[in-house]
Amino acid sequence: MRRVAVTGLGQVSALGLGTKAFFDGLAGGRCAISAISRFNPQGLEVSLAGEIPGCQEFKTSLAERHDGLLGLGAKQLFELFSRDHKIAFALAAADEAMEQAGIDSLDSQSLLHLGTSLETFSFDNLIDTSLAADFQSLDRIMVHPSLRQPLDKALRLIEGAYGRAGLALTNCSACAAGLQALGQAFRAIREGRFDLAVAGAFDSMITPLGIGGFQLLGALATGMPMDGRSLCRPFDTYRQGLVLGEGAAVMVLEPLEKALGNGRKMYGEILGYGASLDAYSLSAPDLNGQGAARAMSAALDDAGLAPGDIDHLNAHGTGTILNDPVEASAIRKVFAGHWEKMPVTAVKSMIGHAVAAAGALEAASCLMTLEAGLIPPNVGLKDVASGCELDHVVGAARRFDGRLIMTNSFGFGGQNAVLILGKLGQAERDLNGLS
Amino acid sequence: MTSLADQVLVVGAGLISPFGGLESTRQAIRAGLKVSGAPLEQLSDTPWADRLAAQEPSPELPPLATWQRLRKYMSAQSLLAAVAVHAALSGLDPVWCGYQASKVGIFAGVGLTSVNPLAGLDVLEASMGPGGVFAHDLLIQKGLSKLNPLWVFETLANMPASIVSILEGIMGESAIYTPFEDGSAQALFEAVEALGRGVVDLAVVVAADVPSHPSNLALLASLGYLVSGETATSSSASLVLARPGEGGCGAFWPKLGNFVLSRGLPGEKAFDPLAPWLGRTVAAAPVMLAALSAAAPELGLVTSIVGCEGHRLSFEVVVN
Repeated sequence: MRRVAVTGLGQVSALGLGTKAFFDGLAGGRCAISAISRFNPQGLEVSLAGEIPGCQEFKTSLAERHDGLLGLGAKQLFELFSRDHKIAFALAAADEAMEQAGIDSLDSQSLLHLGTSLETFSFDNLIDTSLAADFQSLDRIMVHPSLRQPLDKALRLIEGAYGRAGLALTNCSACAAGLQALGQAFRAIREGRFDLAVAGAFDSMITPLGIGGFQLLGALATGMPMDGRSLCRPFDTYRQGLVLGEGAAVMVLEPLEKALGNGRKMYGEILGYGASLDAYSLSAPDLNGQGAARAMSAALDDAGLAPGDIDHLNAHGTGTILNDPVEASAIRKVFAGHWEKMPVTAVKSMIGHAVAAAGALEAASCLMTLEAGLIPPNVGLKDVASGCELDHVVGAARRFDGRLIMTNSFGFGGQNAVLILGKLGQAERDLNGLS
Repeated sequence: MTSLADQVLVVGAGLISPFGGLESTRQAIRAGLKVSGAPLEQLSDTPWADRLAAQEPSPELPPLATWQRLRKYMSAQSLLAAVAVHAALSGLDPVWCGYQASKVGIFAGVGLTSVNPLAGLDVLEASMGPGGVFAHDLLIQKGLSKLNPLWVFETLANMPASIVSILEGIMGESAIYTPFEDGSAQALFEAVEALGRGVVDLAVVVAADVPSHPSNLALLASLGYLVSGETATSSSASLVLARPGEGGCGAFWPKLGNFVLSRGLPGEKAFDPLAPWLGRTVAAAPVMLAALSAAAPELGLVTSIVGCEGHRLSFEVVVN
């Protein structure tokens, strides 16, 4: 079994573009949830989300950078990105991760594995089309391919930019997709299947249909922030529900030995992965928290670690009525005798819930926590709800000198995924000039 | 790459095609029958008018309210997946072959989202202004009220596997891939890997796709994945796999072994050995092939499949 290092990170989130903006924002406790600007949400119960700032300029710049990709000019790429924002996020995050890792191409020894969740139906594309003026042909418009992009479109763009990978996979396990993609890629490197993996997730549901669909389920927080706190309030007495975010996070994974040999900068290593199913409900977590607990225990077993070894936990922490106490209870159960001194944060309070991308973004946050020695705060938490008792990091970032972090992702439909990330040992840090 | 487990025991199989279930489909292929396809009215006068759609399968559902609600609110993919898995598990005795539900995993491949064109049409009609122009504010004010309240669950690509896990009580590891043959081939390969790693004791594999739905057929054709004259067929298949020589599962089926997953050259054409009889079942195809190969080795099917993006899965049937 090989050890697996993370040698590149790329992020696009509501906190901005790139790893620095992402973690500076998180460590600074900056809530990036704000008024929806992409469309007029009047009539919806929701007016706030974690949108990518300056999205138009971002897409323009990305399209210009990739002018000619897949035979598309910058204008055509911009139109493609505008029909489905999330594929632009994926490409930009992959660009940054590849650049950081000093890798400019994929080949047959490379795995490309991304998670995402939901096809975007781009009704915007009907605006100004001549077909739209003809009601007789609406049934034909509904089936027109221009409304949709298959969920593997981001893979095609990344392969267009960097070359064909040995395998290119799209995981679609909802909110668990990001950690599942990273977990499966971790195994592929650990077991010697591939020498390089580009893995992570991308998503956006900040569209009228996406927000409207979640609103119909009653899953979203409505109203406005209170007491200067985020509308997304994981583990708080006054939590209302989730706030949608969007973005992408992509990592480059390589065998530790190879990365050391190449003198690569390493953010840390992945040590274990676990997954489980609740088999309980499409929308609610298993109220006993057994599914979540099984995934956490499986990750510990996979890494060969005991609960007491974990120094910090990044919670799924959605701010929904049911998730938070169930997750807190599962954490207390798995970490019995240890949870009181294991700091827990929930960064969705700052960037919203980026659905499939959430797990990958939060795994990236954990790696930056290891590097910076700072745990970002849960900025939505003031009054810890009954049943949600944990060692919450609130107010401001907390100093951290631990080595091992667990991160949770629990998806709609009861799919759970957990990853354990670790700081490199002193020997590896010395070799890489990180000490 | 070759799988971690050399061989896996097939302890259950289920399949839904326009011919019916696994046995009906087996008999149809033995008799040389072929699904018939017809052009779709919605695609007439389009560049994809000569692609054909097979008749939709109409599986018989267990007489329980849960299954009726599933038919009413969830996607056609979810329904097909659930029926195939239910059939594959029906012969298992004892339940889960005596293994714990937490060591039973589900590995799924699903196709393009099965948009319901009629429901979508209602949403769109309500979102059009007087000039016939779509408007976001009208979508919010009027269109959303036409949406299935469970639209998110109808549309999320993980739902077929999630619904199966809830209906059947599967609590172990899961992995779900999309949107073409490539994802389902990975799901089947991943199931064999999971058995080899020991993270599951029993692996439920399921693949479902509805390429004959008009919007999916149009998208597949526009991408060049369904060529002139080909028939798109909605279907699903499921396999239940175990490690040979363990547990209480009976070895009623041949073993499958020597799984190899690789990727061909760019531009390599998709190849599905079942297509001459069943048409293109796209994301369902790899598991359809494995299920029929295990259940009907006398058919002598070619046990290698190439997906739209060049992923190739091959395996061998090991007759007991």
